[in-house]
Amino acid sequence: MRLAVLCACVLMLLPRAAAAQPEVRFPPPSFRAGEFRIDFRARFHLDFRGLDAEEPVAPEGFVFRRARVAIEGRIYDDLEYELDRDLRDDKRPWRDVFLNYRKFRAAEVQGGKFKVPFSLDQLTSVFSNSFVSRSLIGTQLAPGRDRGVMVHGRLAGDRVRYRGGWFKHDGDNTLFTEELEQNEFVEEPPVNNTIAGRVDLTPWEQTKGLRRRLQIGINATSGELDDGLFGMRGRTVGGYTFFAPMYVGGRRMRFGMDGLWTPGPFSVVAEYNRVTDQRNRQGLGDVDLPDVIAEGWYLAGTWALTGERKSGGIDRPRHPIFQGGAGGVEIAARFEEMRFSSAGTGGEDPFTNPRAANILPNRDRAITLGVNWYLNEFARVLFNAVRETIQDPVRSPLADRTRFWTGVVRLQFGM
Amino acid sequence: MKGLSAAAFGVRAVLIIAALLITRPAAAQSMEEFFDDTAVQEIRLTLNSKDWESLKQNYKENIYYPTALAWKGVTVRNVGIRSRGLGSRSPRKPGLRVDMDYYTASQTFLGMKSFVLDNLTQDRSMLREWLSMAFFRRLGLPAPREAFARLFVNDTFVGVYALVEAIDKAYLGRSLGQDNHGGTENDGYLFEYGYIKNYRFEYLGSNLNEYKIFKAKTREKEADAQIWGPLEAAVKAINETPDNNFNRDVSDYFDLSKVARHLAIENFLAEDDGVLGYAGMNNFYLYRFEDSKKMQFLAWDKDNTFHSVDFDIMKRISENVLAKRTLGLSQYKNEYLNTLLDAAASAMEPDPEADKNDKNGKPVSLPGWMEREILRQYNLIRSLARSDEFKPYNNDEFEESIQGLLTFARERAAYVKDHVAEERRR
Repeated sequence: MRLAVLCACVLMLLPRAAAAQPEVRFPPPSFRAGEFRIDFRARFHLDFRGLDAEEPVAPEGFVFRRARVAIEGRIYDDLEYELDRDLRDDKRPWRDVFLNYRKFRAAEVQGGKFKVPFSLDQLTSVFSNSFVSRSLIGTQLAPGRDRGVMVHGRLAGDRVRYRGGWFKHDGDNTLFTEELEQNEFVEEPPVNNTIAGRVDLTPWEQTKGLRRRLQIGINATSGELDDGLFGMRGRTVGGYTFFAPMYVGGRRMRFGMDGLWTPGPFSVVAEYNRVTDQRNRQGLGDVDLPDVIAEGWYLAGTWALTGERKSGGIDRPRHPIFQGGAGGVEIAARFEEMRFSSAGTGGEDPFTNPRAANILPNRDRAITLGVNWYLNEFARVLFNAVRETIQDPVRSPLADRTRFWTGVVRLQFGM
Repeated sequence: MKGLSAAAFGVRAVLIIAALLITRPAAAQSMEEFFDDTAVQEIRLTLNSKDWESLKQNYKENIYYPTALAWKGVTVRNVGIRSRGLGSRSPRKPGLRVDMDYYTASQTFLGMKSFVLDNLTQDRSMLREWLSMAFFRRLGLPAPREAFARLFVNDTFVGVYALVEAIDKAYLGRSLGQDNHGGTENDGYLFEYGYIKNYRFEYLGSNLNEYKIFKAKTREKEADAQIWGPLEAAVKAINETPDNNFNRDVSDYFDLSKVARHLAIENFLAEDDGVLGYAGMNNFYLYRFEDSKKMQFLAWDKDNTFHSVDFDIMKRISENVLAKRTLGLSQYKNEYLNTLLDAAASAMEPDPEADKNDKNGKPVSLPGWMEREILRQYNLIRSLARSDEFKPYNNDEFEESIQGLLTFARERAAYVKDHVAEERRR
């Protein structure tokens, strides 16, 4: 029944104009006045979560997940801007709010609020992602957006792209927006003065052949970490905390690398991220503890069954629905893992308490299988089934088992 | 032994004996030794200094902090501690609950899952609670074991505390003997009475939520009807059963002899904040036995005892429905008065090994059990108590309070005996 309602929503949201003029593409509304340009954008996500999902693995039912409206454009030729707001988010509604001075292609300067340059998955727009949810590491280990200043540019004939900057905190992904078990609530972000950098290499960009679509990235961050119960937290796809935060203090450092290859209708992407939180004077008796290690990886692949290219193609299907076609269809799979542990044992047995020297490890391993139906350039429906396995039965969301399924159907509309 | 020289044999014997002597202390480390009240124990807690400051700052909250506990060379890590108490909560000298199983469900220490470090802030003598519990046990009713301890946090002395055995399944198993099937009696329903209002067993209606002032401490995940249903039925029976059926019907829920005995011991101790407390019921647990509707009071938190020598022996009995109707039956009133006399005799019992005459052969007045115990513990903790800078009273007040206890121990029995006789003449 709920699925039927969702399908009805899909049909209602289909742009009728597209049916009337099949050959015409629809650029987003735009306004120009001399050297000033404004483009209007709107994007929506409606999720239905169900299948085998059980509380507290994931809440079941419809969720109006995102309702983003944005304006972007240029002032003269050298100054870009963007203002992006989520109408569904009362606490932190503003997403990207920045200015970018692009006079010099080798060294552009961007300031405002935008994504800290770390993690390919996090830097890929969720509206372009091949899965309903980003990877566990892309969602939880990567910083996300923050206020800062960044220099970025392209070198060596676009074969090298770099981004490096200073950020006030550590991004909004690691903020605790809910009350913790011990009534500790973060009013101020616990990480300050984060330095972040990323380099993307496309060494065969100018060549022909399959290698042309290969991209390799490495990135790192380093920030000052306040003392407190601010360690990284591990959550399942449905949001259940399978690894509670530890007391930390010192520096938070990240390192990651990734690779993306998009030959024709296929794509293969892999990423590894590692976050190290120092625990200076955080032990019993104020001794230093071994660092907390949060790390993980994913390997994902997609195949456009209807033949469109993955890079710059599948999001505009060759045969849109109501224009004589059935849209584009893509299948996707992702295998991933995120785990938490300590860098040493401290000569102790492993425990779960938030000042344990030797942290009892825990891990979430997930397989996501998906089918993506690109109706036209504005709308797509994603079907995802996620099977997760939690290592430690005591910290599994389900009392009697460590494996569980979550199913999500997403309707996405954007222009 | 053939071929072994006498010297070599001797060396081996010495080594074996030495090994036995070395291992003896470890073997002796038991719950009994932990609560051995003939010595002051030493407890060392190691936690992060910020956590200790946070605990003191948030002393009204039940926030847990990870801790390592050390006692007599045994260290248990991964222990949780939190501030505890009602009126006794203190930011300067926090009372502590120590839970071995907070972070690791199966962890125990000497077989215990938890114990309490009572901060003794409400008892200027520091002895009231310990003496009351010892007296309950002496008269045959279960009560937690207690001993005194020097508490060190991060190697700094933070005061003299009382180690108090927690009322949990281990305590129930030790105190209540066997169940109907020959197993340990500890799998019933345990309730801690959580004082929130002036309540004295009046019927609160059929809504079970009203009875959650009795906080479930075991089998918490069962349905409300399973946990509180029999309790509601018991309170209804206490209030609504006609007089002529009271003994028969309410005996399904309480051993009324034990109720009378519990009330009598509390009264002898001049407990002003117990089942017949000044502001309603307070400071007890209730245990419903396995496969049974029957319940029993369990003594808890007795630091408001020894109120006065002339504490009325029938004080507030008429205000509590269960006490009033139980002691309204002559059989149980008689048991109540007899228990008061037992208590008086027990408190005044002289040391059987002491000389009853002086060196001239003349009979001497020997101190009773209660007086001897007060003096024994006073001598044990006096210098320690005086050095405790965290207690919220001065040393003169401590000494004065000890004198008050001694007066009580010497005079309470006579008062009680006189008034029991008077009550019987009525």
